[in-house]
Amino acid sequence: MASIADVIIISSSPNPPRSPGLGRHDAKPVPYVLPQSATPPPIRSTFGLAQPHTRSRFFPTPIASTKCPEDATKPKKRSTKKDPTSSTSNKTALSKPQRKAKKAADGPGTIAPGEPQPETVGTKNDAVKPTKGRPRKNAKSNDAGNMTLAGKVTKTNGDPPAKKSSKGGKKTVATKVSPSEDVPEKSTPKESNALGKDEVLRLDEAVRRRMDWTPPRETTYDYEEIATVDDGGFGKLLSDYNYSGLALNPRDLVQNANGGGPTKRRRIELVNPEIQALLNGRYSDSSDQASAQGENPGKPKKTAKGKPKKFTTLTARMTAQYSTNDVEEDDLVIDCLPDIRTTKGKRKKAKETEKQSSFTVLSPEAAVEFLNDQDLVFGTCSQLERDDSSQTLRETQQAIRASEGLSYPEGMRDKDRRTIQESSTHSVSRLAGTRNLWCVGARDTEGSLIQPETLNVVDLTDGGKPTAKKSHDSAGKASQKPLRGDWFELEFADIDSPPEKRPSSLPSTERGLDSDTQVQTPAPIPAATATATATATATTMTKGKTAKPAKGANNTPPEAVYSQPTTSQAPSMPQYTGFTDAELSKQISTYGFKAVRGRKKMIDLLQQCWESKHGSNTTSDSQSTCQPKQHNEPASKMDNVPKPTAAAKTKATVKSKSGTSTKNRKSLDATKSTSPSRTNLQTSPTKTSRGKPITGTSTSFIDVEEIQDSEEEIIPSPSQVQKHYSEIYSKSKTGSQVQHHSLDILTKTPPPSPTKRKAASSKISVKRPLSSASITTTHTAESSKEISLAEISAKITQAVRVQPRLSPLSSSCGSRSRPTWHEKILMYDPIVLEDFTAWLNIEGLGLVGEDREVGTASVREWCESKGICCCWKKNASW
Amino acid sequence: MEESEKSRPIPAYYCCYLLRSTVRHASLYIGSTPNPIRRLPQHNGVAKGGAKRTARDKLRPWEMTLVVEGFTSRVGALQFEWAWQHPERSRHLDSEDDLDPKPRAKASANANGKTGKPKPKPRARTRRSLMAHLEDLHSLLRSTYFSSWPLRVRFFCADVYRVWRAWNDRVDTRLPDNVKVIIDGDNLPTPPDSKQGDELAPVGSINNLSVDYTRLEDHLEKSMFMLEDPDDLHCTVCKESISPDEQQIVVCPYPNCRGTSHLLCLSTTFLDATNKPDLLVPTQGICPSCENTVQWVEMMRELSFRNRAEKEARAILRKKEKRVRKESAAVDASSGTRSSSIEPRSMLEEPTQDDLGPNWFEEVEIESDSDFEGRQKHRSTRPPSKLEIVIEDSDWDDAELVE
Repeated sequence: MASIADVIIISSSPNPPRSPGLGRHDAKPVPYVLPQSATPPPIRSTFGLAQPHTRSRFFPTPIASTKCPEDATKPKKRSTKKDPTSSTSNKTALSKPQRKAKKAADGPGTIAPGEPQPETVGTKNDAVKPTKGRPRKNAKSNDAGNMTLAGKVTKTNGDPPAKKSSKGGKKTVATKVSPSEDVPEKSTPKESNALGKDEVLRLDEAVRRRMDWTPPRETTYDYEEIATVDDGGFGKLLSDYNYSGLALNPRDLVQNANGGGPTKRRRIELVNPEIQALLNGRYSDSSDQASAQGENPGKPKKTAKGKPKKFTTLTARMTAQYSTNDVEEDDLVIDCLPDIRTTKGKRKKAKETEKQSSFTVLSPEAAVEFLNDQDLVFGTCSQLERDDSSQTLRETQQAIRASEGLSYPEGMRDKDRRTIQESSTHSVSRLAGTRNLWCVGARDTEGSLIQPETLNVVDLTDGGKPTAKKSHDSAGKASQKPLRGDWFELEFADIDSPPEKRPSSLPSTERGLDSDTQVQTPAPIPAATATATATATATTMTKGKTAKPAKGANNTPPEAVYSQPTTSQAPSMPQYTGFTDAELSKQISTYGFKAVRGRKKMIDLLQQCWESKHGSNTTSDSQSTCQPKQHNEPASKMDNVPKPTAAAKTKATVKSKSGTSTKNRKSLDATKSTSPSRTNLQTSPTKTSRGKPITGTSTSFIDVEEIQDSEEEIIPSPSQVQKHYSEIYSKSKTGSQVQHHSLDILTKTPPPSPTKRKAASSKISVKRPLSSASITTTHTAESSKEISLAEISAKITQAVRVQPRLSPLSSSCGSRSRPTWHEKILMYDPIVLEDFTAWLNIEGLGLVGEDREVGTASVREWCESKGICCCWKKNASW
Repeated sequence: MEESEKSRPIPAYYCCYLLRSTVRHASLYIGSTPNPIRRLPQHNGVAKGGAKRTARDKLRPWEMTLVVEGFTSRVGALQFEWAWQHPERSRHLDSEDDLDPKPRAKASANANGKTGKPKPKPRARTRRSLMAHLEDLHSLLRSTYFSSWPLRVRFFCADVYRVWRAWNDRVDTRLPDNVKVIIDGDNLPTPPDSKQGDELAPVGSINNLSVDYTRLEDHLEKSMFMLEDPDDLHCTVCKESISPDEQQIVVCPYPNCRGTSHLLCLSTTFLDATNKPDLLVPTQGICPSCENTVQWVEMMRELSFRNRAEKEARAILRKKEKRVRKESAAVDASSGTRSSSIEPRSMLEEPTQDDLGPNWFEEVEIESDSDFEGRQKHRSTRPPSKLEIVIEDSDWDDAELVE
């Protein structure tokens, strides 16, 4: 009877909660399904389904969870009670037909699925409907559940509820059903058990079996418990989710506000701020976090405070590193702010601990941006190393000294040096890039060469002094900006104009205007306005700001602006595509390059040259001021990217920096679009003139100069960081960076004093143009031809032959498993060009004192000229 | 790191071939394969895997009119194949001398757009004449890239060779010395003795080509035996002791020469003998020990196979051992296989019994493994004297090769 009752209960109970239709559908398949469902796991599903409903209704509130467990427990008890009773008493009381029906429903799972049902239906009058419903229900969720129920029965033996069920099956069922939805489900399993017994018709055996089945019951219990737990967890989870989300979100928001996007963007921003902090330090941070730093040191503190919150979410944890870095940097920046850009030590700390991690995190795009920005800085180092012209060096040194003497206290210099060293690690990483990096860096992410700044350096040679002065001035301005409200205003104006994005968007007409204004030159205000108009589409805000800065700011910003405009004034990039080959070759020869084969190559080269020249003007300024510019640029870029609003942009870029940055940006834009190379030549004189006036102004901007020094210092030290740098920037490196790296590699010894560095940088910039341009071109595959291939190939050959003897790892290299390149070649191994080139640039060429890097194309030519089988990595598996 | 990739030994055989339809001689096909003996039936539809281009029944059967053999890497063979198939797009033909105007013109036309994939020429390569193919082949063999490769051209068809000769007469430039031309197949009045070990000797037909490592067995046996006990071995060049486990040791291929050298030492010696300071890979040299002229590639084949395919090398030695034993006919069938598998090891190991190197156990293990495999193989399939190193043929005519 108990079994019958159970069956009834099941049928009734499941129906109310669930839709009858479902039950019917289930019932039909039941016989077939039953066998499958015989296993306990399905029960879980049923429980889970039932529980979720209730819970879902109750949802987040703990009540649901509490209810659910209760329900689960109750049904368990009932089921268990019923089961034992049913097993024992049912056997006696239950009618055979009922049993058969039960068997049909449950039994099929174990024994004979479909057959019993009709019999049961016919036999059971009372139970027929219910049985049908029962088996159906059972079949649905219960089939599996039945088995589980049996298990339950064994565990909970002899409970009062079981008696009830056994007594009046239907009645009990009704009662049971009423209490909760879960009950019916549980009851259904019981029924299934009973059915199974019926099928066999051997009640005793069935009982024994059930007893044997106890373990599965246990599992079922576990399931129920689990389900309950899950339910509770579920509800909690939901609630937690909501809560956590809310809680986390604010944090994230705070972080985001500082850094911008959650992950990648943050990284970028973070990196930028770091870089900026390194270069200009506070400015960049200020731009990112609140742009307040530039205005007031106190603002960054606020941001930092917001960041320290603990992270609960995974994303928060993941981003915590970066966010913390930002915070630290911010703090550092804040601390430094009072000291003014001398906070190198702080920077150093941040860099040492956090920056490395952040560097690794950089996304390629971000890295590229950084590199672009940094190029100027690097350029200075390289310039220092390579500068040969005594005049430029002297002039730059004099100018630097004059400016420094005015601006820098000795203590500040020391600090700067420290900061430089520490920061050098970070900055070094940039600079330190290995030759491989060179090659890579020489190209854009798209594969096109990026050497605007480096090339510019060449042009600067004439105006090296002024450029240096300018840089100092600009730096001083940048530093001063935070201090002086006027400067801030200027910065805003500059910032608005400088962002590359805007300049890029600027129509040619604007450029023309800029150029005109530039031609007018000396008037600071017009220059500023011109720049503003040129760079940004002359936003009204920027104009007003520019006017203010012009007034408040010294001549320097306008000068910078002028220089930029001059560069921009330089004839727009000629349409090389329209040139004949002969003309192109002439143009190339004018740049001092050897004839290049291929029209496309020639055009590319000319464009690069032109860009470089055009950029050189800007770059020369930028190089001298390179640090500030770079800082500004990144900041402005960052600002622009995350925060389109002009205000953010203005905040990011420093006034003087903005001027320079604007120039750079303009130049970059111009170069990108096709900047006039011719103008570069023209600009050089103009630059010199600019530089002179700037120098006068520079004296006033002592603080600014310090900043520059620190930045410059950072740049030179990098030999240690080279590896990191190479890893990070391998692809993103820009040509300028590459040059810097090469220079670094060559000299390896950082410039002794900031002034020297500056001078060197300026010199380098001047001298480089020729050599650097050629080198950079060589890096590019096509440009390799320009450099005498014979020369390089001889070096490569030498390097290959020298490798085993010179390399400290010769033993390992000479081992059988790791043959040297020479051995590979001798053994006819196909040489993988990428690997071989990487080795050459990292190690091989260094062994033979070759500073330049080689591209895979030139290496390929070398291999092919030697008859050495070479292939690309993708084909190496052939 | 990339050792796995680079551990590949120089293939025993790899060739590019010019396939010609015996039905329609104008139908030509250029392919490459490590095993022309297997490849030709594929083209003819006898075996599975023929190239689509050669699938037309009307053109079958095909014949291999010539093969360019001696490639030292699959990559190299594929590069050569591609260049031969796409002479108008190959980088190795555009810098050619002025002697063959055709490729030159093509090359110059492509010079501008070199970086990008040159536009396909209207003339399909199937439409090209035998003469054009031979011209391209000639140019390729003279190209700076391929000219230093140890390639051999083996002509199986007399008429093709006649065309080749005709073209050679028209071209002033001669092929580089290291490129050998072998007249083979029906060029020969009488089928040659297939038992010759010289790879320059004619073999009579494609089926007689030696496409496995077995021709290295003598050299291998000598070198492995010698290097088992390297204590008293010294580099013939630098006179320092050698450590085969740590260094690349070259062993003179001449049976009676016990010359062993460091790879770099010997190469330097060979290169110094030449008057080409820029050369990195010698083509041949005089063994400092036996004063015989040795081919560099020959030693490299042995070296790479010995160092990178130790199992196979030992398997080959075992096979040789077995074959020798069979020939002697002194061993009965039952104990033969067993002893043959064990004996080589014992023979090789005994000399080192006194002072076992750290790698001794490893070697033993490897040997035992390979022994087992070898035994299995021998029992199931008796004849296979060829080492089964499966290297795919290149059927991908349109594959983006190295260019």
